[in-house]
Amino acid sequence: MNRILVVEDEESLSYLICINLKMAGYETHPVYDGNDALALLQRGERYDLAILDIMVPGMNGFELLAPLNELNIPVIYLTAKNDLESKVRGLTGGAEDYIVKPFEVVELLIRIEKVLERHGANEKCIDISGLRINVEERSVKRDGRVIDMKPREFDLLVVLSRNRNVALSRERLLALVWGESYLGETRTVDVHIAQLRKKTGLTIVSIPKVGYRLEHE
Amino acid sequence: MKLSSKLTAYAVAIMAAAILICSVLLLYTSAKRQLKNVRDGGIAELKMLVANFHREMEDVWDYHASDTVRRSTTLYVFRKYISLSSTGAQYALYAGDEALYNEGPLNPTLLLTLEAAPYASAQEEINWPVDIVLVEGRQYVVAGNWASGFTGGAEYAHQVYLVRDVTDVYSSITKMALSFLVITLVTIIAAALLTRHSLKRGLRQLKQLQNNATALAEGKYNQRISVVGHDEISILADNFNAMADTLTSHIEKLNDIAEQRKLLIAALTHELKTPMTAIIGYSDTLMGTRLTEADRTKALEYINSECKRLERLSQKMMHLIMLEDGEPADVQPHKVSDLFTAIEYTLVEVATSNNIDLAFSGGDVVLSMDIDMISSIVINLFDNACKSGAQHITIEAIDNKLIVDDDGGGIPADELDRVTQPFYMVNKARSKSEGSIGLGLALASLIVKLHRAHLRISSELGNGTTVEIEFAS
Repeated sequence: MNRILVVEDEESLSYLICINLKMAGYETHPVYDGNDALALLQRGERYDLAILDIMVPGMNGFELLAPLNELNIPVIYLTAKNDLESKVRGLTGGAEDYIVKPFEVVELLIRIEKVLERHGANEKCIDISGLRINVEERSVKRDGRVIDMKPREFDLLVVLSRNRNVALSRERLLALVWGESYLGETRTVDVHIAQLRKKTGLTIVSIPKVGYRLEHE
Repeated sequence: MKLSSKLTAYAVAIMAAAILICSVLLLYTSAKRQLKNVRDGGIAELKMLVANFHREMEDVWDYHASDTVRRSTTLYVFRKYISLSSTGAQYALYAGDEALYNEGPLNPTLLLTLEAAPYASAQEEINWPVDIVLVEGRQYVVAGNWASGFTGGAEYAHQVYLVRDVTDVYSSITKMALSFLVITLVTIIAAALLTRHSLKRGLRQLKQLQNNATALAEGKYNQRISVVGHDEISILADNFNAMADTLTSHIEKLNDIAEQRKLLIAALTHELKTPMTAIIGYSDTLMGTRLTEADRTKALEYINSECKRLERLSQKMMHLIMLEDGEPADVQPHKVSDLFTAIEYTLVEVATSNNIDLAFSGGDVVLSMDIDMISSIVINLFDNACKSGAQHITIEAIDNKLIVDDDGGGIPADELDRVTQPFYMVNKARSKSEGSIGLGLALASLIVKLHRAHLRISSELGNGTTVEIEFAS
């Protein structure tokens, strides 16, 4: 499971991020002070990704970038500072991404996924509800038996698995699986979801006005 | 500049008129006097002649002589005396229309009318007719005297005339007039030039004023006039400078206020982001993410508390804005004990339940204050003290000061001058968890400003805080 360090001094926001990440299958480690974060790193704790708020007490987000980069821990900035200078500073300093508050939680999840992918930290095998998904091989097995799947169905399955318990809109799914420039209708998403349900038996619920959610304990 | 030309024109016109009138009057009176002298001179000369003539004639008059003899005697004596004349005047002797002697160019009988008077003697004061006549381009003074005779008798009534060419007097008068004219003209021109010059100099500041006023109208507020002299225009220039100064400081003040407002709004916007992110985030999560029951409840609680925070924020902001723009403070002299009475119920309750030692003193001091506003400051300071972990809090009035002192955690030295900034919180995490917005001290400093008082905060990390409000004496 990917370990994510969350450095955010606002308790309400920290909790918000953590419950979502948790449900999506990440292991979360919240700290409320930059110095505490540094202490963890110096203690030898390692993470797959760090989400940093810039304005935290103690060492601020910018100052924490260097030690994290050194340990090869990718950073996503999450901050209220919307000015160009901060963005430039953050990104040129070596952060992977920069999200401005207020933000959509799903947005954050997707970006985390992208960063992990770039860093090769994504899990190659996903175990979910009795299924074993091998992302590299592009195979899905239940109890050892391969389930036949069309390419798009597989991609859709991976996206849903990586964002389990979080509802994704049809538009979002379309963009993630079929690409941003796909000109077709979201109807195709519905069709593929139906197929997935049939083939895998996974609980994929439809949340009205929101989207589809793959449910998993 | 039109004004100086106008003033110059008026001044020169008046001056010219005055000078002209002066010259003319001078000339006139001078001429008149000269001519009077001429006339008087004529009469005086004639009188002298007649006196001598008559005297001698009385001596030599012979009643028994023949007419011819008498005639020649008369002529002889006459001639004798006229040759003594030194002025070059001509004399004539007439008996009625008959010219007994006249070697002058004129016939005076035609020019002067003499009245016959019974026995007129040269010694008696009678009218001696005199006139100045113009004959063929030349001026002559003609004086005459009618005598009835030489002795007591009425024989030989005769007239003696004096005729003198006085054309030169006239020509000298004319010359004088001309030179007067020239002098007048030169004087007027010189005066005009001088006037123009002086006016231009005097009004130069006016021109400067005009330029500055134009600059001011165009929005350039930094030009001033260097003031020279002490006349009305200098005073005007001075006033203008003062006005420009006031305008500048006013504008700077307004700019300052606008700047502060901008900063406040920026800070407010920033403060809004966090509660909004939380509320949006949690509601999104509740709608889309599968949560445990516990998480679900917590999410709803967070939405609730953040919304309440927003409400407190908006209330305090309204308070802040109303204080800035609203009615002035109701500042009256009050005994501090009144203030204590207003707040002690609330404070004592909190102090007791938190085991804080709270003390009031100085109730007899009288301060000019708005009780409600000052109460809110003191309550806020008490609150801050409690939150910083104070065990002992004193609220005390001395002289013209109100002091709240505590032994809590204190404020770090480098943050001391920022604590009155809107939304600034020293310990953000702790303050927010206790529901703080960070506007308490900002409001306090505003209220203090409205009272024209002074807010002083001294503190040391770990050594408590003292907040002092010094009221204007």
